[in-house]
Formats: sequence, C-alpha cells, structure tokens
Amino acid sequence: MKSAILSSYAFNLHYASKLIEGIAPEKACEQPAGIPNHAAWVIGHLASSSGFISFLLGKPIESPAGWDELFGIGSKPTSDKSKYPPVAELFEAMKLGHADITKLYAAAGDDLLSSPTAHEGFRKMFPTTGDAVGFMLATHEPIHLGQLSAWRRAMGLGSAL
Amino acid sequence: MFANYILPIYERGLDLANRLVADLSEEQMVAQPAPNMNHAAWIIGHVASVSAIVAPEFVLGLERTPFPAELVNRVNHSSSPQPDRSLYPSKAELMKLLADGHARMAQILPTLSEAQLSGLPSIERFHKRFPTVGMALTHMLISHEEMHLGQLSAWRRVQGLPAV
Repeated sequence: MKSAILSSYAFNLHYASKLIEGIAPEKACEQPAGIPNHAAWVIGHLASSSGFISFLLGKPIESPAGWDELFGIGSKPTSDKSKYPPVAELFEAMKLGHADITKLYAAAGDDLLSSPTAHEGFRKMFPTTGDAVGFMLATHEPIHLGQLSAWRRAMGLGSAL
Repeated sequence: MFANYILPIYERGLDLANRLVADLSEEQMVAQPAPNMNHAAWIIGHVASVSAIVAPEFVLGLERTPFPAELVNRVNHSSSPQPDRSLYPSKAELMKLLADGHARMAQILPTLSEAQLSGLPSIERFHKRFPTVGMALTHMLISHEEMHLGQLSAWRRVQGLPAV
C-alpha cells in the first residue's frame, strides 16, 4: 500500500516540475480571470505542507519563517509578487520536502499509521495517521496541481504533459 | 488493507465531483473561459471513462463498465474539449456514468488479492509507468481523478462561481 501511495506522490513532484516550466518569474503571482491560487502560492503551499505531514508522522520539520502565513491553511494568495519567493526556490523546497516525507513515510510502521491522527481537526475526517497522510500525499497534492494546470491554461500556457 | 484505504478517498472524489457541478447549467458544462481550458463536460466524461474503462479493462483485464462508444474518443487522454454542447451527454448522464464507474470499482477493489495488486497491469504500455496494479489503481482512481477535479475547481473560479 505504501509503495502505491509513494508512487503517486513521486509522480506529483514530476508533474509539478512540468507545470512550472515556462512560467516567467514576473508572471508567477498573476491571478488570471479570477483564479486565486497562482503558481507561487500553489508550489509554496505544497512545499510548506511537508511541515504538516511531518508533524502527522511525528517528526515535525519546520518551514522557513513566514511561510505559514504566506502558504498555510487559510492563507489568501495575492498578486503582490514582492511577497513571494521565486517559484524555482519554492520548487526546490518542495523537492526537499518530498525527499524528507518519502523517507518518513517509508519508515513509518503499522503502529504509527494506525494510531489516531495527531491533528484534532483532521482526525474527524481521517481517523488514523495512515488515512491522514495518505490523503495528503495522494489527494491533496493532485487537487492543487490540477488548479495549477487550469491556471496555466488561463495564462495562455500550453498543457504541461 | 488496500481497499480499506482507497475506498473512502475514492468516495470523497465522487462527492467532490457532485458538488463541483451541482449548480452548473447544461450550457455552462462546456464553457471555456480561456482557450483550451478543460471544461466540466470533458472533465467528468474523462474521469468517468477512467473508472469505467481504464481501471477495470486496462489495469485489471476485466470487462469495462458500460460506457457510450461515441463518447470514448471525445474524452480520452488524447482528446481535447470542444465547445459544442451536443457532443457530450447531459450533466445528469455524465454524472451517472461517473457514479456507475465508481460503484463497479467499489465492488471490485475489496476482492483484489495481494498477488493481484502486486502484479503487472493488464496492458503493456502501462508497465513502465506503473510496475504494479496497486500503483496504477492508486494513480488512476485517486491522484488522476483529484487532479482533474482540481482543474474543475479552478475552472469554476474563472467563471465567478464560488469555491466548493
């Protein structure tokens, strides 16, 4: 089961690398036609979510200062590009996060994965750590990458795959 | 174990799809507010075809779930969304195709053995990308579907529709 989830998780990173190809740095925070989640926010959000996933897996990894406010749950993307690191930098953080989470998840035993989800709000939807982490790796990322795919089209960029 | 994990997430996908199209008119289903954007009729048809055809037939080597023959080439991975509403079934029909595909896979998934899940997908062209049936099903039924529902979510926002 873990290998299947990790396979999808690895594909997400590959897909993200394709989705950011061809995005001019000065365009990364544009919100075309009312799409709020721009490229910088999506990649930053996925990079910073590694902190949350590592918390769920019992080995919290800290995100850079200020990233929770910029990219965390409840954050609102703005078109002010001065607030966001370059997408290339955000993607490097996403890659590092993927490497950390892949190791943590691969090493997680059944005891941990069947334990109650550490985050109370999340526990209502995902009772066990395995449910919650599985959701974050195989569902949460693709939803946001799909948003980024639609953002690309609205920006006049071609299909990523 | 596999079905225990995958089914609740898969069911959430169907629920999300229903909520994403609930307030759309028939004409809105093919709206393309920006050139080449995947519209709702194409996205629902496409993910329905994955549950009805790709997962049972291409991955598991079983019979496909009934799916309109004329629709297959209009929603497969090499198709592109067309603005002509008449090329796609009604919203209710599209959602039924998606629900039927989900229901069939929900019956099949609990019956799969560890040996089946660790075996190769039925068609050879999947083998390099998906070394096991479990990997192919997780991608096709969960990640792939959610990615397209994410497109649908952003497509809604372009048209001024609220977040779901």
